Amino acid sequence: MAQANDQSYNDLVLKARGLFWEKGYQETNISDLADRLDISSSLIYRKYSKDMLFIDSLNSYIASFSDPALEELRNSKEGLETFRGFFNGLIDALLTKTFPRSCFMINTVVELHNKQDRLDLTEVYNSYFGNMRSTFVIILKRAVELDEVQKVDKIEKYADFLSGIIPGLSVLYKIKNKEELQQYINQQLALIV
Amino acid sequence: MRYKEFNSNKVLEDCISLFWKKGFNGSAINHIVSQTKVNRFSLYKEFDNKHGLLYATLKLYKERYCLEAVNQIALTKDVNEALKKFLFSYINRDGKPSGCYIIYIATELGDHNEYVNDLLKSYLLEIETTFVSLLNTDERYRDTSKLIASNLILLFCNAMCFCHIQDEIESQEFISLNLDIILNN
Repeated sequence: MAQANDQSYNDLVLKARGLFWEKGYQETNISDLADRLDISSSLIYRKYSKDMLFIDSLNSYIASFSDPALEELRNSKEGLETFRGFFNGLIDALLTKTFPRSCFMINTVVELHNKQDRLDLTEVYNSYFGNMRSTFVIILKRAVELDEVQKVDKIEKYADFLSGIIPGLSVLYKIKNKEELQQYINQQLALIV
Repeated sequence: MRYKEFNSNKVLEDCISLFWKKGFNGSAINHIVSQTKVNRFSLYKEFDNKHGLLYATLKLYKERYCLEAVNQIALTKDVNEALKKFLFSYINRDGKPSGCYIIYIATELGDHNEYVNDLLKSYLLEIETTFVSLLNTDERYRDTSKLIASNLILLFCNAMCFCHIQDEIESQEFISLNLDIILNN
């Protein structure tokens, strides 16, 4: 098999990410990885490891999808409408299969529910959900300034509430259509007062 | 007549533990054989194939664990309390992981497997219908019971994921906070 030494580590992680996203962590074995990455199994054993490629796949997912979307939220001038755009964008990504199989992060949380300590996933989760939550707080504060939200003391709670939408959508998109999913978002946002 | 040498429900319970740990595709048939201590021939005779086994585990899980939780809802008078009790019951179950086996399997297979997809649909619909009946018992919620119930389904799905990254207390707080927002608006 080609050793493909010209591939950067980033290239390898991108390929690994696609595979882990489609198949999950447990179903992906070293020879699947070797095939997808176009390198030998022994190189994976020697130089990388399945766990290392997996954690970096998650980090790459955060860097490619989550971070830019959240930055866009923070830079927006709007209040609650920002959330609608954000969640509707996520619905589109889930339905049009821009995402190979649901949200990679949520898949991982559910799949590896009993392995998160062994794989040091807590740090990855904290970075993902923590960043999302703190961005939501910024938007909610702006919504207060814009007079869209009156209950200022509830902002932190609203941020937790809205952070929960992503896992819910990651399940419901499997059985609901776009209008139904957008309806969920409208209903949730209507509860922010 | 040849007697079955194993108890189907015991086999299915063992398979639920295995699939819920390693995933359906991550569980090879020899794992199943060693976990259940039933040979491959007898397993296939009873359940046809690995998928037949999976579907039987989902059916058993739903009947044994979810119906009980759903029935509990009808026994509690206060709406908020009833919902809390229902959702909390998924967080700490003796000997079972937190969360919901059906959601776990649907996360792995729900995109491509029609049976799993249909089951997820009917399962969530059943829960939603129960929520609506519960909400209709309280005049404060009667007019908007359908809307509230659909918000509660989203919460159910959220909670079944978040309970994996929160400890028991945090999960309960998350659920209570969400219920407050959804019910007391």
